[in-house]
Amino acid sequence: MRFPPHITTDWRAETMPIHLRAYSRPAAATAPKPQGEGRARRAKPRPSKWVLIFDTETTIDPSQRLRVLFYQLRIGGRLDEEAAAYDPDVLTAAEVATLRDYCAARDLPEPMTIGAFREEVFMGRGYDCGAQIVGFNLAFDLARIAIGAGAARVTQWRKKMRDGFSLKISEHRWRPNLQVRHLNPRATLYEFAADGRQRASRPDRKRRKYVPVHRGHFTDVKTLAAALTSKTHSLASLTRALRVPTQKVASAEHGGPLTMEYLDYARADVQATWECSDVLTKRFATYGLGDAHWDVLSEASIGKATLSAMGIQPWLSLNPDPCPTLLTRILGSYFGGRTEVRWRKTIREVFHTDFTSMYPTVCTLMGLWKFIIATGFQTRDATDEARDILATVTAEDLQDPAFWPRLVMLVKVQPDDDLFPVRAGYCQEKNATIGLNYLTADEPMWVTLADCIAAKLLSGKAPAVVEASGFAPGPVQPNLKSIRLLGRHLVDPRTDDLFQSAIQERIAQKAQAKSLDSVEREAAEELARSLKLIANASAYGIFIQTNVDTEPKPAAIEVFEPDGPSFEARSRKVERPGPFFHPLLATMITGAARLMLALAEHRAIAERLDWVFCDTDSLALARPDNISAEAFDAAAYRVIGWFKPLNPYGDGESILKPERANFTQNDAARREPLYCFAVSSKRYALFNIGTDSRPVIRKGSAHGLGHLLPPYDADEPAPGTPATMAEDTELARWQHDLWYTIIEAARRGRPNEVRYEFHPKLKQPALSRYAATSPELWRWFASWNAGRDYPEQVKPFGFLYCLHAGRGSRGKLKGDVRPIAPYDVTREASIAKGFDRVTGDAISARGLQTYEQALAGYHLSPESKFRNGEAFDVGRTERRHIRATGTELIGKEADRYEEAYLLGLGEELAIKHGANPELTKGTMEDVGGAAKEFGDSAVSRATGLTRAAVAKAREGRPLTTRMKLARVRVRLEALKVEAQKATKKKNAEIERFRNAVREHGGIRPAARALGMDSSNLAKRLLLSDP
Amino acid sequence: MTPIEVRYEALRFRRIQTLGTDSPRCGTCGERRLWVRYENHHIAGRKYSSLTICLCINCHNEISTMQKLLPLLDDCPDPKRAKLIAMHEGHALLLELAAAAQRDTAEMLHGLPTIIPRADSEA
Repeated sequence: MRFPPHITTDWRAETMPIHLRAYSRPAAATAPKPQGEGRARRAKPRPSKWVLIFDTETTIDPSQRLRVLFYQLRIGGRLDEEAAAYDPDVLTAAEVATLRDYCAARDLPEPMTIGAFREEVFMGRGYDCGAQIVGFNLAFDLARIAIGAGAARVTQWRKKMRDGFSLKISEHRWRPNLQVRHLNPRATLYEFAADGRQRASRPDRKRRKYVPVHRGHFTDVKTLAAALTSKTHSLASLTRALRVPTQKVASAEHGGPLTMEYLDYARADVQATWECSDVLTKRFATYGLGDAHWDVLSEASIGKATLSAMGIQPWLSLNPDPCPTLLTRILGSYFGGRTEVRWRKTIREVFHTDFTSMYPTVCTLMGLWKFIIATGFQTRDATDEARDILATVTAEDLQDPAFWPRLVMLVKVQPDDDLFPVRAGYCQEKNATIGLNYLTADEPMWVTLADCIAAKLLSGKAPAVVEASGFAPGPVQPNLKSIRLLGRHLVDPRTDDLFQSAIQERIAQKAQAKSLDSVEREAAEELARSLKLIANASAYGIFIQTNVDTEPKPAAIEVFEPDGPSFEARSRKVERPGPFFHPLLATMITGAARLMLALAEHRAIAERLDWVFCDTDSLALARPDNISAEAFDAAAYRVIGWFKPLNPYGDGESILKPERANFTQNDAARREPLYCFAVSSKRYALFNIGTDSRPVIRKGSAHGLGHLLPPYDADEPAPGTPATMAEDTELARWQHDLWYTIIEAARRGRPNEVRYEFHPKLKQPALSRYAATSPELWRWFASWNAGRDYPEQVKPFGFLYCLHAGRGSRGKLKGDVRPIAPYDVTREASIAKGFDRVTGDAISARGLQTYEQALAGYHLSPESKFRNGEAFDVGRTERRHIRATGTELIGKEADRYEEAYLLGLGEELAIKHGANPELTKGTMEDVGGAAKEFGDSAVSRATGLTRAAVAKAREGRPLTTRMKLARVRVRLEALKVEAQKATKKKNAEIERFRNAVREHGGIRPAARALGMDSSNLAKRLLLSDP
Repeated sequence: MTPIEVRYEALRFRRIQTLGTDSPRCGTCGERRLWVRYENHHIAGRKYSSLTICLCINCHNEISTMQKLLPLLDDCPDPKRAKLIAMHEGHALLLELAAAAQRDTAEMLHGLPTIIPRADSEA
């Protein structure tokens, strides 16, 4: 085998099971039954012209109980009513008097009690009159006005509110509860449950006339803002970003006595919320997607709505029963973007580059739009074509855009030390990661043609093709409609490519913006951002969207294998494809994006450059020691220029662009040496060296830090760090100081010796702030809430602190302690109330991890997917050579990722289906054979199987328990290797004894020479004699 | 808003939910008022097709009665032909009813006093 010079041949293949995604669906017996006939779905009714906007102010104790709220009722945007409400059990008589005085002074009606607000305003107008209910982080406010809470009830037909809350708002039995389900930090679902009254009259019921449940219309401004700006905002940052007339100001008076100023602040929040909602609603209207902004949950909602507005029907709705085996093959070839570190914990000068709109670009290059507007796709045998392409393809072929549509192909390969994305639990890590590594496997596997070409370009060896399937779009869908993108650019789906049109228009807007005055420039830039959002939102995520239903009990699911029969597994997590699920597009897009990155790497190597890290669509080229800065820049620009012919947008630029951080802060045209220090995937910092020879951090990663509450504020920088940060740094001050400390340690030549004592406040216990966003999390406070009425309890969506238990040394918490604390006035007060969420026992602050301890290993984060990537390794990482011992089929890779990550739940993120039980038969025969050879105990110890199971395997009886096939195989393999080693060692020893006997002329003198007992020597030789 | 206005809005919203639209319309007489009862009429009869049209309760009563007077198609040997006949008959009834409604409106307009424009409005 020939390797190019940059690939080392110093390796030893490692054995491990690999993970492949597979298609699964509920087994026929557990699939929900269809609903009865005569219940035709009606379009969701629109809200009335009324809008209710409200915002609550709360106490700052653990209960975060309502004190006062302001609300506005608007009719078609016109303010009809504005008033305040308060909780009489919380406010003192003096405070109520202050509130009354305030309302009189501001010409507001007499304040009402919270009970009256619930019944007359929220239910009486919000619910009965079908008002649109608007708020910022609405879930928190709704839980404050509720009178009780519990887990939302679901039915087999209606599961969307599973893991959600049911909030009781009204005292009246016929009034509906309100259901709230947290989806992610940006999006929450809200709806009213069914009320207790008959919705249809008796004659209508007799005619089986169905009147749908009034679910309400809720607009969480936070969600809408996140979808339309692609950023998570607080109300303050949103008012700043949207430049609304009412700006939110910070108030230091939370929890203090009510004052006129504080009430002004609280009232202004409602106005600010309305103004933001109004601006965002108008912005949404420019998309030409109707006015149902209350249905928008994320950017993906906009992508889906754009496709629907064009009359495009989802692939699954046109093909409701796709071939499951084909889906598994497609999903098996699906991997996300490449995120890798090549130079670890080494300061290197870099030129940071990234691709323009990577996913829309590869969609356009491959002509995937034709698949989106088609009724389906056709499959053909393309084995010869794939072999031809792989035999002859060069990087220069890929410079021709006409080549890219040929890449829509899946190839079944026999991996033999081929460079492929490999998903595996490297170094026994619980959660699998994906690394581009050399793979050898006994079984063939399906990959994209793009991955095969990338393998050839980077390793010089083309994979062996077993078979290949090419895909072609089917007939164009009927009833497609032209739309105007943001009311301007006309796009006809039959003739135009949406992604190309959107990005072309974006480039035109950006170019135009440069010649405009400030107000018009801002509008043009806003338009460009919206176009980017449309292109990105429609280009990838919606095609791989898989929703996971967590069932209360393990349900039977049918798991399909790429080249074999399906098998039944049991899991609590049942996958449901999203509305625009089209895995062929998703796997082609990500495969092509990895190829694009491989091309950039290939060109960098051709220019004798190195690289430090890559992340999906970006690559940091590294300057080798032996070339000048000018030569480095020239080479980097040659790499960038190589991609010019691939630009599908007609502006003559390269799709690979230099990042802003390559240039000085003040002048976007002047280069300044940029350095990089990367620890592991997604954990890196880019910096310049300032005039005082100190690092100036331009860009840093907050990956792995975001869950921690800032230990100190921006106005108290760590001693010894720069007083000011670079303007374009998006890091929090403490994160900046952390990276500064890590970089300084590396500059001193000790990258592994970072002392996290750079700020005195790092000695306080580390806190992660979260909220009780699901009934499961809320139950952590069951012991705290026991014996307390709802108003006094920690409520749904109330803040909580996760603490981190220290381990090991004296005074630290022992065992599996999971400390949490309710929110309180100060950190210290919260920590003092901390308890173990499992047992409810109080914990001592002494046993908690400090920030110093929690951060201690940050600079040592491993890059396990590669060799030389372990904690203390420094320098160049090397790709692993892996021999797959088995395949474990998995579902969605990171369900509830945010919750598990932030809270350190220690759960396996991926849904694991295991292996086909039929396949265990062969392994069990191996186990039986090994038991006969090494004994039941040894095999039981090695494999983790019980002795009874090993005995059954030895006797050839069927095994009733499920086993982790891949694990057993690996351990059995290890046992055999160990046994071989032991035999070899024993044989060598016996040979030594025999030589000694021959040399010394008998057993006695030989035993004397060897220093052992002669009878023992005789016995050893006798037993070894065959 | 007064409590009565709020109550009216609540009832109106409930009515819209029941109807499934805020702009109902009878398919023959053109009735549009929200509070009138509307029903779905099977154009060819429930037995022959599920195709329906929204009618006000008066028109529905009238057309259902007329539909019952049509000759029975039970003896028709070809079910497809029976369905077609029923559909055409149903459409014809609808058109008859619509024509009658138009005629009534025209007669009503005949009977109205002549409107003489006021001199100041001309100015």
